[in-house]
Amino acid sequence: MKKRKRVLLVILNLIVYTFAIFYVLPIVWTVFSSFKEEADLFSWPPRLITKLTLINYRNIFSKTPLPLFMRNSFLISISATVLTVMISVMSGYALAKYRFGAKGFVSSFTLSMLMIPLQVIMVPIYLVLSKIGMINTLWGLIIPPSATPTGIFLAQRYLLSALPDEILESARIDGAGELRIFFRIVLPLSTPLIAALSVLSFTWRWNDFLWPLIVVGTPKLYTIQLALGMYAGEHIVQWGPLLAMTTISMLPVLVVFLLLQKYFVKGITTGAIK
Amino acid sequence: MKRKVIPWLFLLPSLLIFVIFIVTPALSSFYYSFTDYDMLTLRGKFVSFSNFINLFRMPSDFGRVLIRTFFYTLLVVPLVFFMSLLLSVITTSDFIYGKSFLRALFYWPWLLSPSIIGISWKWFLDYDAGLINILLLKGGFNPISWLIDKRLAFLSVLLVTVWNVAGYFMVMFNAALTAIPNEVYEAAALDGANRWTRFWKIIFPLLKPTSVLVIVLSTIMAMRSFEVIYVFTAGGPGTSTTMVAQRIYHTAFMERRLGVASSMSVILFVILMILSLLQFRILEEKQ
Repeated sequence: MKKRKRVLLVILNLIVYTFAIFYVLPIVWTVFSSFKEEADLFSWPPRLITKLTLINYRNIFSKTPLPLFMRNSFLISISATVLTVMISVMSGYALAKYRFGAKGFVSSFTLSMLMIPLQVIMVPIYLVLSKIGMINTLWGLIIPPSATPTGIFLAQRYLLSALPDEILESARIDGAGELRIFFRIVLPLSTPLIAALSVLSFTWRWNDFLWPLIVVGTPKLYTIQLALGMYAGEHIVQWGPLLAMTTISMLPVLVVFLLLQKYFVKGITTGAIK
Repeated sequence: MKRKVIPWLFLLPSLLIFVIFIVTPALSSFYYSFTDYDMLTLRGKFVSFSNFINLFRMPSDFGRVLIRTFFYTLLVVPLVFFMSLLLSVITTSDFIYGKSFLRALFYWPWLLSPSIIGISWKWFLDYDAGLINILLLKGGFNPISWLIDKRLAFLSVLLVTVWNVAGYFMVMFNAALTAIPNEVYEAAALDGANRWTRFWKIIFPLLKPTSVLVIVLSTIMAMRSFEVIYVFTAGGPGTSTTMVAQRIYHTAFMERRLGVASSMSVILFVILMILSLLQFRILEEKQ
Protein backbone atom coordinates (compact mmCIF):
# COMPACT_ATOMS: atom_id res chain seq x y z
CA MET A 1 0.00 0.00 0.00
CA LYS A 2 2.67 2.47 1.03
CA LYS A 3 4.85 1.55 -1.92
CA ARG A 4 1.98 2.09 -4.33
CA LYS A 5 1.42 5.53 -2.86
CA ARG A 6 5.02 6.47 -3.36
CA VAL A 7 4.95 5.35 -7.01
CA LEU A 8 1.83 7.42 -7.55
CA LEU A 9 3.53 10.40 -5.97
CA VAL A 10 6.49 10.09 -8.30
CA ILE A 11 4.27 9.76 -11.36
CA LEU A 12 2.21 12.78 -10.31
CA ASN A 13 5.34 14.88 -9.90
CA LEU A 14 6.67 13.70 -13.24
CA ILE A 15 3.46 14.78 -14.97
CA VAL A 16 3.48 18.18 -13.27
CA TYR A 17 7.12 18.85 -14.10
CA THR A 18 6.67 17.76 -17.73
CA PHE A 19 3.78 20.21 -17.93
CA ALA A 20 5.97 22.90 -16.33
CA ILE A 21 8.70 22.35 -18.90
CA PHE A 22 6.18 22.75 -21.73
CA TYR A 23 4.89 25.88 -20.04
CA VAL A 24 8.19 27.72 -20.39
CA LEU A 25 9.27 26.03 -23.61
CA PRO A 26 8.42 28.96 -25.94
CA ILE A 27 10.73 31.21 -23.94
CA VAL A 28 13.45 28.59 -23.59
CA TRP A 29 13.27 27.99 -27.35
CA THR A 30 13.66 31.73 -27.99
CA VAL A 31 16.71 31.97 -25.75
CA PHE A 32 18.22 28.79 -27.19
CA SER A 33 17.62 29.89 -30.80
CA SER A 34 19.26 33.26 -30.16
CA PHE A 35 22.58 31.42 -29.90
CA LYS A 36 22.29 29.89 -33.37
CA GLU A 37 23.55 31.25 -36.65
CA GLU A 38 20.92 32.57 -39.03
CA ALA A 39 21.70 29.76 -41.49
CA ASP A 40 21.19 27.11 -38.83
CA LEU A 41 17.87 28.61 -37.77
CA PHE A 42 16.37 27.81 -41.16
CA SER A 43 18.42 24.79 -42.19
CA TRP A 44 16.71 22.05 -44.16
CA PRO A 45 15.99 19.49 -42.93
CA PRO A 46 15.61 21.37 -39.62
CA ARG A 47 17.99 20.41 -36.85
CA LEU A 48 17.39 20.93 -33.17
CA ILE A 49 20.99 20.89 -32.07
CA THR A 50 23.48 23.01 -33.95
CA LYS A 51 26.68 24.73 -32.97
CA LEU A 52 26.15 27.68 -30.66
CA THR A 53 27.50 31.13 -31.36
CA LEU A 54 27.43 34.66 -30.00
CA ILE A 55 27.30 36.21 -33.46
CA ASN A 56 23.72 37.52 -33.04
CA TYR A 57 24.69 39.27 -29.84
CA ARG A 58 27.78 40.77 -31.40
CA ASN A 59 25.66 41.98 -34.31
CA ILE A 60 22.93 43.64 -32.29
CA PHE A 61 25.46 45.59 -30.27
CA SER A 62 27.51 46.70 -33.25
CA LYS A 63 24.98 46.93 -36.10
CA THR A 64 21.74 48.06 -34.43
CA PRO A 65 21.06 50.99 -32.09
CA LEU A 66 20.46 48.53 -29.24
CA PRO A 67 22.65 50.46 -26.76
CA LEU A 68 20.52 53.54 -27.44
CA PHE A 69 17.26 51.60 -26.98
CA MET A 70 18.53 50.17 -23.72
CA ARG A 71 19.63 53.58 -22.51
CA ASN A 72 16.14 54.96 -23.29
CA SER A 73 14.47 52.05 -21.53
CA PHE A 74 16.60 52.35 -18.42
CA LEU A 75 16.30 56.13 -18.31
CA ILE A 76 12.51 56.01 -18.63
CA SER A 77 11.97 53.08 -16.27
CA ILE A 78 14.17 54.43 -13.53
CA SER A 79 13.01 58.04 -13.59
CA ALA A 80 9.35 57.01 -13.91
CA THR A 81 9.84 54.69 -10.96
CA VAL A 82 11.30 57.47 -8.81
CA LEU A 83 8.32 59.65 -9.72
CA THR A 84 5.81 56.87 -9.11
CA VAL A 85 7.26 56.17 -5.68
CA MET A 86 7.18 59.85 -4.69
CA ILE A 87 3.68 60.48 -6.04
CA SER A 88 2.23 57.29 -4.55
CA VAL A 89 3.71 57.79 -1.10
CA MET A 90 2.65 61.46 -1.05
CA SER A 91 -0.93 60.72 -2.06
CA GLY A 92 -1.15 57.60 0.05
CA TYR A 93 0.13 59.58 3.04
CA ALA A 94 -2.46 62.32 2.51
CA LEU A 95 -5.25 59.74 2.31
CA ALA A 96 -4.01 57.72 5.26
CA LYS A 97 -2.97 60.34 7.79
CA TYR A 98 -4.86 63.59 7.20
CA ARG A 99 -8.47 64.39 7.89
CA PHE A 100 -10.13 66.60 5.33
CA GLY A 101 -13.59 67.00 3.90
CA ALA A 102 -13.24 65.62 0.41
CA LYS A 103 -11.24 62.54 1.37
CA GLY A 104 -13.97 60.11 0.36
CA PHE A 105 -14.35 61.84 -2.94
CA VAL A 106 -10.61 61.79 -3.66
CA SER A 107 -10.52 58.06 -2.85
CA SER A 108 -13.33 57.16 -5.20
CA PHE A 109 -11.99 59.52 -7.86
CA THR A 110 -8.61 57.77 -7.70
CA LEU A 111 -10.27 54.36 -7.76
CA SER A 112 -12.38 55.31 -10.77
CA MET A 113 -9.20 55.99 -12.76
CA LEU A 114 -8.85 52.20 -12.91
CA MET A 115 -11.98 52.06 -15.03
CA ILE A 116 -10.42 54.05 -17.87
CA PRO A 117 -7.75 51.89 -19.46
CA LEU A 118 -5.27 53.38 -21.90
CA GLN A 119 -6.71 51.32 -24.76
CA VAL A 120 -9.90 53.37 -24.55
CA ILE A 121 -8.35 56.85 -24.44
CA MET A 122 -5.29 56.42 -26.62
CA VAL A 123 -6.74 58.63 -29.35
CA PRO A 124 -7.59 61.74 -27.28
CA ILE A 125 -4.51 61.24 -25.12
CA TYR A 126 -2.40 61.62 -28.23
CA LEU A 127 -4.10 64.97 -28.85
CA VAL A 128 -3.56 66.15 -25.28
CA LEU A 129 0.10 65.17 -25.44
CA SER A 130 0.63 66.91 -28.74
CA LYS A 131 -1.10 70.06 -27.48
CA ILE A 132 1.28 70.36 -24.55
CA GLY A 133 4.27 69.33 -26.66
CA MET A 134 4.94 65.95 -25.08
CA ILE A 135 4.76 63.83 -28.23
CA ASN A 136 8.19 62.47 -29.12
CA THR A 137 9.71 63.46 -25.80
CA LEU A 138 11.01 61.48 -22.88
CA TRP A 139 8.73 63.49 -20.58
CA GLY A 140 5.73 62.17 -22.48
CA LEU A 141 6.86 58.66 -21.64
CA ILE A 142 7.78 59.37 -18.03
CA ILE A 143 5.19 61.72 -16.53
CA PRO A 144 1.69 60.60 -17.60
CA PRO A 145 1.90 56.95 -16.47
CA SER A 146 3.69 57.77 -13.21
CA ALA A 147 0.52 58.29 -11.16
CA THR A 148 -1.28 54.98 -10.65
CA PRO A 149 -4.26 54.18 -8.43
CA THR A 150 -2.66 50.84 -7.57
CA GLY A 151 0.45 52.57 -6.24
CA ILE A 152 -1.55 55.12 -4.27
CA PHE A 153 -3.74 52.51 -2.59
CA LEU A 154 -0.77 50.29 -1.81
CA ALA A 155 0.83 53.29 -0.09
CA GLN A 156 -2.35 54.27 1.72
CA ARG A 157 -2.89 50.76 3.04
CA TYR A 158 0.71 50.39 4.15
CA LEU A 159 0.90 53.77 5.91
CA LEU A 160 -2.43 53.22 7.68
CA SER A 161 -1.08 50.16 9.42
CA ALA A 162 2.67 50.76 9.62
CA LEU A 163 2.95 54.41 10.58
CA PRO A 164 1.65 55.17 14.10
CA ASP A 165 -0.07 58.54 14.57
CA GLU A 166 1.87 59.09 17.79
CA ILE A 167 5.15 59.51 15.94
CA LEU A 168 3.65 62.19 13.72
CA GLU A 169 2.02 63.96 16.66
CA SER A 170 5.18 64.05 18.75
CA ALA A 171 7.14 65.38 15.77
CA ARG A 172 4.55 68.15 15.39
CA ILE A 173 4.78 68.98 19.07
CA ASP A 174 8.53 69.26 18.62
CA GLY A 175 7.77 71.86 16.00
CA ALA A 176 8.71 69.95 12.85
CA GLY A 177 7.11 71.25 9.64
CA GLU A 178 4.84 69.02 7.54
CA LEU A 179 7.35 68.69 4.72
CA ARG A 180 10.12 67.88 7.16
CA ILE A 181 7.92 65.21 8.74
CA PHE A 182 7.27 63.70 5.33
CA PHE A 183 10.92 63.53 4.30
CA ARG A 184 12.45 62.75 7.71
CA ILE A 185 9.84 60.39 9.15
CA VAL A 186 7.32 59.11 6.60
CA LEU A 187 9.72 58.25 3.78
CA PRO A 188 12.36 56.53 5.96
CA LEU A 189 9.67 54.44 7.67
CA SER A 190 8.27 53.33 4.32
CA THR A 191 11.22 51.30 3.07
CA PRO A 192 9.28 48.04 2.45
CA LEU A 193 6.56 50.03 0.70
CA ILE A 194 9.08 51.86 -1.45
CA ALA A 195 10.70 48.56 -2.37
CA ALA A 196 7.36 47.06 -3.44
CA LEU A 197 6.39 50.15 -5.41
CA SER A 198 9.76 50.30 -7.13
CA VAL A 199 9.64 46.67 -8.18
CA LEU A 200 6.13 47.00 -9.61
CA SER A 201 6.74 50.32 -11.30
CA PHE A 202 10.04 49.29 -12.83
CA THR A 203 8.43 46.16 -14.28
CA TRP A 204 5.47 48.07 -15.70
CA ARG A 205 7.61 50.74 -17.29
CA TRP A 206 10.28 48.39 -18.61
CA ASN A 207 7.68 46.12 -20.22
CA ASP A 208 5.43 48.91 -21.41
CA PHE A 209 4.50 48.78 -25.06
CA LEU A 210 1.38 50.89 -25.55
CA TRP A 211 2.67 54.19 -24.10
CA PRO A 212 5.78 54.28 -26.27
CA LEU A 213 3.68 53.19 -29.25
CA ILE A 214 1.45 56.24 -28.81
CA VAL A 215 4.05 58.80 -27.75
CA VAL A 216 7.11 57.91 -29.81
CA GLY A 217 7.47 58.40 -33.54
CA THR A 218 11.23 58.54 -34.06
CA PRO A 219 13.61 55.58 -33.64
CA LYS A 220 15.83 57.86 -31.55
CA LEU A 221 13.37 57.56 -28.65
CA TYR A 222 12.46 53.88 -29.08
CA THR A 223 12.46 51.85 -25.93
CA ILE A 224 13.77 48.34 -26.31
CA GLN A 225 10.22 46.95 -26.18
CA LEU A 226 8.95 49.28 -28.87
CA ALA A 227 11.99 48.51 -31.05
CA LEU A 228 11.29 44.79 -30.69
CA GLY A 229 7.69 45.29 -31.74
CA MET A 230 8.74 47.32 -34.76
CA TYR A 231 11.41 44.84 -35.87
CA ALA A 232 8.96 41.95 -35.44
CA GLY A 233 6.45 43.72 -37.64
CA GLU A 234 8.78 44.11 -40.60
CA HIS A 235 8.11 42.16 -43.77
CA ILE A 236 11.34 40.22 -43.63
CA VAL A 237 12.13 39.50 -40.02
CA GLN A 238 15.80 39.10 -39.12
CA TRP A 239 15.18 36.32 -36.65
CA GLY A 240 18.70 35.81 -35.31
CA PRO A 241 19.25 39.38 -34.09
CA LEU A 242 15.60 39.74 -33.08
CA LEU A 243 15.74 36.70 -30.80
CA ALA A 244 18.99 37.91 -29.26
CA MET A 245 17.45 41.31 -28.57
CA THR A 246 14.36 39.65 -27.09
CA THR A 247 16.53 37.60 -24.77
CA ILE A 248 18.43 40.65 -23.58
CA SER A 249 15.21 42.60 -23.04
CA MET A 250 13.87 40.08 -20.53
CA LEU A 251 16.95 40.10 -18.31
CA PRO A 252 16.31 43.20 -16.14
CA VAL A 253 12.81 42.14 -15.08
CA LEU A 254 13.98 38.57 -14.55
CA VAL A 255 16.77 39.73 -12.24
CA VAL A 256 14.42 42.01 -10.31
CA PHE A 257 11.88 39.20 -10.05
CA LEU A 258 14.35 36.60 -8.80
CA LEU A 259 15.76 38.96 -6.19
CA LEU A 260 12.53 40.55 -4.97
CA GLN A 261 9.83 37.97 -5.64
CA LYS A 262 7.74 38.62 -2.55
CA TYR A 263 6.95 42.19 -3.55
CA PHE A 264 5.20 41.08 -6.73
CA VAL A 265 2.74 38.99 -4.79
CA LYS A 266 2.02 41.94 -2.51
CA GLY A 267 1.03 43.98 -5.53
CA ILE A 268 -1.40 41.36 -6.79
CA THR A 269 -3.19 40.55 -3.59
CA THR A 270 -4.30 44.14 -3.23
CA GLY A 271 -6.79 42.95 -5.80
CA ALA A 272 -6.37 45.67 -8.37
CA ILE A 273 -4.93 45.83 -11.84
CA LYS A 274 -2.77 48.72 -12.82
CA MET B 1 -6.39 76.77 7.82
CA LYS B 2 -2.86 75.67 7.04
CA ARG B 3 -3.64 72.13 8.13
CA LYS B 4 -6.41 71.95 5.57
CA VAL B 5 -4.25 72.86 2.61
CA ILE B 6 -1.45 70.43 3.35
CA PRO B 7 -3.14 67.15 2.29
CA TRP B 8 -4.10 68.79 -0.99
CA LEU B 9 -0.49 69.70 -1.62
CA PHE B 10 0.49 66.07 -1.16
CA LEU B 11 -2.33 64.99 -3.47
CA LEU B 12 -1.63 67.61 -6.09
CA PRO B 13 0.78 65.68 -8.35
CA SER B 14 -1.41 62.61 -8.70
CA LEU B 15 -4.64 64.55 -9.10
CA LEU B 16 -3.06 66.82 -11.68
CA ILE B 17 -1.85 63.86 -13.73
CA PHE B 18 -5.21 62.11 -13.48
CA VAL B 19 -7.10 65.19 -14.60
CA ILE B 20 -4.79 66.09 -17.47
CA PHE B 21 -3.97 62.65 -18.80
CA ILE B 22 -7.04 60.57 -17.98
CA VAL B 23 -10.13 62.68 -17.27
CA THR B 24 -9.60 65.25 -20.01
CA PRO B 25 -8.95 62.66 -22.73
CA ALA B 26 -11.86 60.51 -21.55
CA LEU B 27 -14.28 63.43 -21.68
CA SER B 28 -12.96 64.76 -24.95
CA SER B 29 -13.31 61.36 -26.56
CA PHE B 30 -17.06 61.66 -26.01
CA TYR B 31 -16.94 65.01 -27.75
CA TYR B 32 -14.83 63.77 -30.67
CA SER B 33 -17.10 60.77 -31.17
CA PHE B 34 -19.78 63.17 -32.44
CA THR B 35 -17.45 64.87 -34.93
CA ASP B 36 -15.65 63.96 -38.13
CA TYR B 37 -12.25 65.22 -36.94
CA ASP B 38 -9.33 63.95 -38.90
CA MET B 39 -5.93 63.38 -37.41
CA LEU B 40 -3.88 65.27 -40.00
CA THR B 41 -5.60 68.63 -40.11
CA LEU B 42 -7.16 68.33 -36.64
CA ARG B 43 -10.28 69.90 -38.07
CA GLY B 44 -13.81 68.67 -38.27
CA LYS B 45 -17.42 69.44 -37.61
CA PHE B 46 -20.23 68.14 -35.46
CA VAL B 47 -21.96 65.21 -37.14
CA SER B 48 -24.29 64.09 -34.36
CA PHE B 49 -24.78 60.31 -34.20
CA SER B 50 -23.72 59.52 -37.73
CA ASN B 51 -20.39 57.94 -36.69
CA PHE B 52 -22.22 55.47 -34.49
CA ILE B 53 -24.83 54.77 -37.13
CA ASN B 54 -22.18 54.24 -39.79
CA LEU B 55 -20.24 51.85 -37.57
CA PHE B 56 -23.19 49.50 -37.48
CA ARG B 57 -24.44 49.99 -41.02
CA MET B 58 -24.44 46.65 -42.86
CA PRO B 59 -22.10 45.16 -43.88
CA SER B 60 -20.55 46.36 -40.68
CA ASP B 61 -16.83 45.78 -40.42
CA PHE B 62 -16.73 47.15 -36.88
CA GLY B 63 -19.66 44.94 -35.94
CA ARG B 64 -17.65 41.93 -37.02
CA VAL B 65 -14.62 43.03 -34.98
CA LEU B 66 -16.87 43.61 -31.97
CA ILE B 67 -18.48 40.18 -32.31
CA ARG B 68 -15.05 38.58 -32.74
CA THR B 69 -13.85 40.29 -29.56
CA PHE B 70 -16.89 39.03 -27.66
CA PHE B 71 -16.37 35.53 -29.02
CA TYR B 72 -12.69 35.64 -28.08
CA THR B 73 -13.59 36.85 -24.58
CA LEU B 74 -16.22 34.14 -24.24
CA LEU B 75 -13.55 31.52 -24.92
CA VAL B 76 -10.69 33.17 -23.02
CA VAL B 77 -12.52 33.58 -19.73
CA PRO B 78 -13.38 29.92 -18.98
CA LEU B 79 -9.99 28.78 -20.28
CA VAL B 80 -8.16 31.28 -18.06
CA PHE B 81 -10.38 30.35 -15.15
CA PHE B 82 -9.72 26.62 -15.24
CA MET B 83 -6.08 27.00 -16.17
CA SER B 84 -5.34 29.34 -13.27
CA LEU B 85 -7.36 27.14 -10.92
CA LEU B 86 -5.36 24.12 -12.08
CA LEU B 87 -2.06 25.96 -11.60
CA SER B 88 -3.20 27.04 -8.18
CA VAL B 89 -4.17 23.54 -7.11
CA ILE B 90 -0.82 22.24 -8.35
CA THR B 91 1.17 24.89 -6.50
CA THR B 92 -0.69 24.49 -3.20
CA SER B 93 -0.96 20.71 -3.23
CA ASP B 94 0.78 18.63 -0.56
CA PHE B 95 1.98 16.09 -3.11
CA ILE B 96 4.14 18.28 -5.29
CA TYR B 97 7.80 19.01 -4.64
CA GLY B 98 9.30 22.44 -5.24
CA LYS B 99 6.03 24.33 -5.04
CA SER B 100 7.51 27.80 -4.73
CA PHE B 101 9.73 27.10 -7.73
CA LEU B 102 6.69 26.05 -9.77
CA ARG B 103 4.74 29.08 -8.55
CA ALA B 104 7.47 31.41 -9.81
CA LEU B 105 7.70 29.51 -13.08
CA PHE B 106 3.95 29.66 -13.81
CA TYR B 107 3.86 33.33 -12.80
CA TRP B 108 6.73 34.25 -15.08
CA PRO B 109 4.74 34.75 -18.34
CA TRP B 110 2.82 37.54 -16.60
CA LEU B 111 6.11 39.43 -16.18
CA LEU B 112 7.03 39.28 -19.85
CA SER B 113 6.37 42.26 -22.08
CA PRO B 114 3.90 42.11 -25.00
CA SER B 115 6.87 42.19 -27.39
CA ILE B 116 8.65 39.29 -25.75
CA ILE B 117 5.48 37.20 -25.68
CA GLY B 118 4.51 38.06 -29.25
CA ILE B 119 7.97 37.39 -30.67
CA SER B 120 8.63 34.19 -28.71
CA TRP B 121 5.33 32.62 -29.69
CA LYS B 122 5.61 33.77 -33.28
CA TRP B 123 8.98 32.03 -33.37
CA PHE B 124 7.75 28.96 -31.46
CA LEU B 125 4.90 28.46 -33.95
CA ASP B 126 6.86 29.49 -37.06
CA TYR B 127 6.01 27.29 -40.04
CA ASP B 128 9.60 26.51 -41.06
CA ALA B 129 11.67 26.93 -37.94
CA GLY B 130 9.30 26.76 -34.97
CA LEU B 131 9.96 24.03 -32.42
CA ILE B 132 6.47 22.53 -32.72
CA ASN B 133 6.71 22.04 -36.46
CA ILE B 134 10.26 20.72 -36.25
CA LEU B 135 9.13 18.11 -33.73
CA LEU B 136 6.15 17.22 -35.91
CA LEU B 137 8.45 16.79 -38.92
CA LYS B 138 10.87 14.64 -36.93
CA GLY B 139 7.96 12.50 -35.80
CA GLY B 140 6.92 11.98 -39.42
CA PHE B 141 3.92 14.32 -39.37
CA ASN B 142 3.10 17.27 -41.58
CA PRO B 143 3.91 20.72 -40.21
CA ILE B 144 0.93 22.83 -39.15
CA SER B 145 0.33 26.30 -40.56
CA TRP B 146 -0.34 27.86 -37.15
CA LEU B 147 -0.28 31.53 -38.05
CA ILE B 148 -1.18 31.20 -41.73
CA ASP B 149 -4.54 29.51 -41.33
CA LYS B 150 -7.19 31.90 -40.01
CA ARG B 151 -8.80 29.52 -37.55
CA LEU B 152 -5.52 28.19 -36.24
CA ALA B 153 -4.26 31.74 -35.83
CA PHE B 154 -7.31 32.58 -33.72
CA LEU B 155 -6.75 29.44 -31.69
CA SER B 156 -3.07 30.36 -31.22
CA VAL B 157 -4.05 33.82 -29.98
CA LEU B 158 -6.40 32.22 -27.45
CA LEU B 159 -3.65 29.89 -26.29
CA VAL B 160 -1.13 32.70 -25.89
CA THR B 161 -3.58 34.88 -23.97
CA VAL B 162 -4.35 32.09 -21.52
CA TRP B 163 -0.65 31.31 -21.12
CA ASN B 164 0.11 35.00 -20.54
CA VAL B 165 -2.38 35.70 -17.76
CA ALA B 166 -3.05 32.36 -16.01
CA GLY B 167 -0.14 32.83 -13.58
CA TYR B 168 -1.51 36.17 -12.45
CA PHE B 169 -4.86 34.68 -11.50
CA MET B 170 -3.14 31.64 -10.02
CA VAL B 171 -1.74 33.94 -7.32
CA MET B 172 -5.27 35.13 -6.50
CA PHE B 173 -6.53 31.55 -6.20
CA ASN B 174 -3.48 30.65 -4.12
CA ALA B 175 -4.35 33.38 -1.63
CA ALA B 176 -7.91 32.09 -1.41
CA LEU B 177 -6.93 28.41 -1.18
CA THR B 178 -4.38 28.95 1.59
CA ALA B 179 -6.91 31.06 3.51
CA ILE B 180 -9.22 28.08 3.86
CA PRO B 181 -8.72 26.75 7.40
CA ASN B 182 -7.22 23.29 7.82
CA GLU B 183 -10.28 22.08 9.69
CA VAL B 184 -12.30 22.35 6.50
CA TYR B 185 -9.89 20.02 4.71
CA GLU B 186 -9.90 17.61 7.63
CA ALA B 187 -13.68 17.60 7.88
CA ALA B 188 -13.87 17.06 4.13
CA ALA B 189 -11.48 14.11 4.41
CA LEU B 190 -13.73 12.49 6.99
CA ASP B 191 -16.57 12.82 4.53
CA GLY B 192 -15.18 9.82 2.72
CA ALA B 193 -15.72 10.95 -0.86
CA ASN B 194 -12.70 10.90 -3.17
CA ARG B 195 -10.48 13.93 -3.67
CA TRP B 196 -12.08 15.01 -6.92
CA THR B 197 -15.64 15.24 -5.55
CA ARG B 198 -14.36 16.66 -2.29
CA PHE B 199 -12.68 19.51 -4.15
CA TRP B 200 -15.69 20.44 -6.26
CA LYS B 201 -18.29 19.88 -3.55
CA ILE B 202 -16.57 21.51 -0.59
CA ILE B 203 -13.49 23.54 -1.51
CA PHE B 204 -14.59 25.07 -4.80
CA PRO B 205 -17.77 26.73 -3.41
CA LEU B 206 -15.60 28.40 -0.75
CA LEU B 207 -13.61 30.07 -3.53
CA LYS B 208 -16.65 31.78 -4.94
CA PRO B 209 -15.70 35.41 -4.18
CA THR B 210 -12.28 34.92 -5.79
CA SER B 211 -13.80 32.98 -8.68
CA VAL B 212 -16.18 35.79 -9.51
CA LEU B 213 -13.39 38.35 -9.28
CA VAL B 214 -11.18 36.27 -11.60
CA ILE B 215 -14.01 35.99 -14.12
CA VAL B 216 -14.72 39.72 -14.13
CA LEU B 217 -11.05 40.75 -14.28
CA SER B 218 -10.24 38.31 -17.07
CA THR B 219 -13.28 39.51 -19.00
CA ILE B 220 -12.04 43.10 -18.79
CA MET B 221 -8.55 42.02 -19.82
CA ALA B 222 -9.81 40.04 -22.79
CA MET B 223 -12.13 42.80 -24.01
CA ARG B 224 -9.27 45.30 -24.18
CA SER B 225 -6.64 42.92 -25.58
CA PHE B 226 -4.31 44.67 -27.94
CA GLU B 227 -0.54 44.76 -27.49
CA VAL B 228 0.34 41.07 -27.37
CA ILE B 229 -1.79 40.28 -30.41
CA TYR B 230 -0.40 43.35 -32.20
CA VAL B 231 3.13 41.91 -32.00
CA PHE B 232 2.13 38.24 -32.28
CA THR B 233 -0.09 38.22 -35.37
CA ALA B 234 -0.60 41.94 -36.10
CA GLY B 235 -4.30 41.07 -36.18
CA GLY B 236 -3.87 38.75 -39.13
CA PRO B 237 -3.99 36.77 -41.29
CA GLY B 238 -6.52 39.08 -42.89
CA THR B 239 -8.32 40.50 -39.91
CA SER B 240 -8.95 37.13 -38.28
CA THR B 241 -7.34 38.10 -34.96
CA THR B 242 -8.07 41.85 -34.95
CA MET B 243 -9.84 42.94 -31.77
CA VAL B 244 -11.63 46.21 -30.97
CA ALA B 245 -8.67 48.04 -29.42
CA GLN B 246 -6.47 47.33 -32.42
CA ARG B 247 -9.21 48.53 -34.75
CA ILE B 248 -9.38 51.78 -32.75
CA TYR B 249 -5.63 52.21 -33.00
CA HIS B 250 -5.64 51.51 -36.71
CA THR B 251 -8.57 53.82 -37.45
CA ALA B 252 -6.99 56.68 -35.54
CA PHE B 253 -3.31 56.41 -36.35
CA MET B 254 -3.25 54.71 -39.77
CA GLU B 255 -6.50 55.85 -41.37
CA ARG B 256 -6.33 59.10 -39.40
CA ARG B 257 -10.09 59.13 -38.82
CA LEU B 258 -10.14 60.52 -35.33
CA GLY B 259 -13.88 61.03 -35.02
CA VAL B 260 -14.74 57.48 -36.01
CA ALA B 261 -12.00 56.04 -33.78
CA SER B 262 -13.44 58.03 -30.87
CA SER B 263 -16.89 56.56 -31.44
CA MET B 264 -15.37 53.08 -31.31
CA SER B 265 -13.57 54.05 -28.10
CA VAL B 266 -16.80 55.24 -26.54
CA ILE B 267 -18.48 51.92 -27.32
CA LEU B 268 -15.59 49.94 -25.81
CA PHE B 269 -15.52 52.35 -22.88
CA VAL B 270 -19.18 51.78 -22.05
CA ILE B 271 -18.71 48.00 -22.19
CA LEU B 272 -15.65 48.13 -19.93
CA MET B 273 -17.36 50.59 -17.58
CA ILE B 274 -20.22 48.18 -16.97
CA LEU B 275 -17.73 45.38 -16.28
CA SER B 276 -15.67 47.56 -13.93
CA LEU B 277 -18.71 48.61 -11.93
CA LEU B 278 -19.47 44.93 -11.56
CA GLN B 279 -15.91 44.39 -10.34
CA PHE B 280 -16.17 47.07 -7.66
CA ARG B 281 -19.49 45.70 -6.44
CA ILE B 282 -17.82 42.32 -6.02
CA LEU B 283 -14.76 43.75 -4.29
CA GLU B 284 -16.98 45.59 -1.84
CA GLU B 285 -18.97 42.47 -1.08
CA LYS B 286 -15.73 40.58 -0.56
CA GLN B 287 -14.56 43.06 2.06
